[in-house]
Amino acid sequence: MMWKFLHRLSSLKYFYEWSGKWIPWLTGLTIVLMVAGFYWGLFIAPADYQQGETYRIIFVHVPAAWMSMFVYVIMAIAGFTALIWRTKVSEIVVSECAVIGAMFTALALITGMLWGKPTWGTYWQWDARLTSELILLFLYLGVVAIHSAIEDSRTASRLSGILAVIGVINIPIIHFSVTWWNSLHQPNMQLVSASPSVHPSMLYPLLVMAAAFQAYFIVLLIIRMRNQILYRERRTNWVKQLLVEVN
Amino acid sequence: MLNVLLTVIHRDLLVAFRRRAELMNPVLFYAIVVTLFPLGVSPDVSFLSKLAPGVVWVTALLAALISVERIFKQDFEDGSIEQLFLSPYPVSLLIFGKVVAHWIITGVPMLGIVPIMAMLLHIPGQVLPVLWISVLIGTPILSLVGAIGAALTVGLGGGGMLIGLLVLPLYIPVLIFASSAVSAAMDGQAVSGQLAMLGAGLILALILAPLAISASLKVSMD
Amino acid sequence: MLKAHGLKCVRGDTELFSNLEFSVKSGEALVVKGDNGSGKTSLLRILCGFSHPVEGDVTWCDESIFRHDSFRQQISYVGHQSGVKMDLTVLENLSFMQRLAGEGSDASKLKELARYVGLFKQRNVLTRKLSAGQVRRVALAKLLLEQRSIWVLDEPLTALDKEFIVKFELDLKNHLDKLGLLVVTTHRELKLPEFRVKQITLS
Repeated sequence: MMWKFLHRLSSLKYFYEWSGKWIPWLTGLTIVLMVAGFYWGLFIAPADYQQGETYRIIFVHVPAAWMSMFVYVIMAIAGFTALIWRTKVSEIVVSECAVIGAMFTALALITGMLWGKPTWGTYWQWDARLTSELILLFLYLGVVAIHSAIEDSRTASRLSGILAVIGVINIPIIHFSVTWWNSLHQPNMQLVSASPSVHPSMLYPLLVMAAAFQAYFIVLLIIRMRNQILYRERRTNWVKQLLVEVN
Repeated sequence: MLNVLLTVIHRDLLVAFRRRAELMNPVLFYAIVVTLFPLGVSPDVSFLSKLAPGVVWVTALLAALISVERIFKQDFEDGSIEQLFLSPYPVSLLIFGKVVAHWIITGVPMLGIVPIMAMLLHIPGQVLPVLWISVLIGTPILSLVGAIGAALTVGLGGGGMLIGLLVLPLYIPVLIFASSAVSAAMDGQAVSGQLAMLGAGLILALILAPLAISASLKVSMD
Repeated sequence: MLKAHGLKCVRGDTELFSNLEFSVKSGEALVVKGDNGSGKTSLLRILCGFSHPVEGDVTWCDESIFRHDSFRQQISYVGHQSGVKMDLTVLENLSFMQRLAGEGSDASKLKELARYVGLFKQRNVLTRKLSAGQVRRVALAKLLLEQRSIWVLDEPLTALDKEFIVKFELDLKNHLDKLGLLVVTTHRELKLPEFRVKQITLS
């Protein structure tokens, strides 16, 4: 049952039709979660006793940083399935995830820098987390770059998929080496890192924001994938027919 | 199995030696880039020797990167890669032979030039063995990982910049552990931890890189 | 039996062929004709398993060739790019082909082969210094070295002289007589026993 459904979903046409039904619901869910999360985080949650109001940027920064890693894992899984089973849908997931993931990573970096200014007194510190995040951005941009450099979109997607799989094996190694390097050079860094335990009054809005980011990711991924499907299938009859209906 | 591996290595070395003039290029590149640092920063002895572990390794990364770019180019253009896929041997084994040959051509000369340039940067003599071992373990990783990037970009016209974008982030762990081994040795600290990490990295690269390379070449051929 | 089922091939924005069906038995030759850019090379590369068709499948003994890597080991492929290293001598090239095919090195056999393709005098000359026709002879010598059952040849006659073509046609005939299978693209007429030849034209 499950396999049969997945198999049908791997057809671009079926995916296009099936995903279309979900967009309004997912968009609504995203908006509700975003509004609730922002309101809770920015107005209801108490100010931090050390950092005052500036800490509130974590309601964007932390979910973005979580998503930056989550999206990479999704991209690598899709890359792996694209290689093994040559499914067109997962090929498209790889290339679209790369762009979205790079966006989340950039957001995490920018909010991290904005947060760094009042807390560290400087926008940039070679702290382990920021450095890892910066390298993650480079890994994403590598996938985007190789995808856009290759003309044939299926070859491009499969090669970016291989790069994504290699990257996902390397991320823990890179993260470990950067953390190790950082502990060597800046042994006092953990003082200003995010505190390990978060008070529930801040944790709950954070989790709502995380859910909102997840929902936003799924909506964005589906919309981007549908565009890409129409482009790749532009010569097929079902897309031509679709265009006739729209006009 | 071993025979065919040696055959591939032998052929690639033979082809390389027919173009002897190009063999020295990575070494010369290395020497010139290292020379730029005293000129661009400062010739001050204490400052240079502080900078040296990073300089010798960052330059090694760049030299490996530009030399690895063309590793599959010729084979791809003259149809040799296709023939590898028709042989009864595992493609990743044959590819591994090509990477070994590449390391012999470009990595082994590094073992000679790196200590010399390190001395010009005032790295003390007793640190050179550690530096040498880090080059010995580190450069094969650079060749293996770099070859993945070369395989990913082999179908493109000029992949020079792109391969850097793909490969350099993956080189970061090598840079960190290798240069820190050299710094630690200069401070008189133990280096076994860093060298062990490099060794583990080499084993991992030996296992995984040939698979990734042959998968990339297969897709590039499509 | 090598069978194509509804093959479709697209390169860039153009569809080269679709719904292509054919079957070739052992001892038969499939001659692929067509204009430049009609997809002959693409078809051959699909049959070798190098690239995948957009639609359809190729089967050998009723099994998809894309699922069985071992199928490739029965193929000798000589394409436009000959797979010959220009920086190696004739003998060095032949020796590499021999070892890569999984045979032990046999120097006397290689010399004999060099003599057979008319390159005995040039056996220690770098391939770069040979003429285009002579390079092609080196590439074609692989067919005799590997002794595989399926020969896939892309424009094998290019740059060859008449004398060698006659000899080569004899080799092809022998291959078919031994129940080998041949897929070949060519612009020139290839003299093969007619009852063994199937022809398709790509347009």
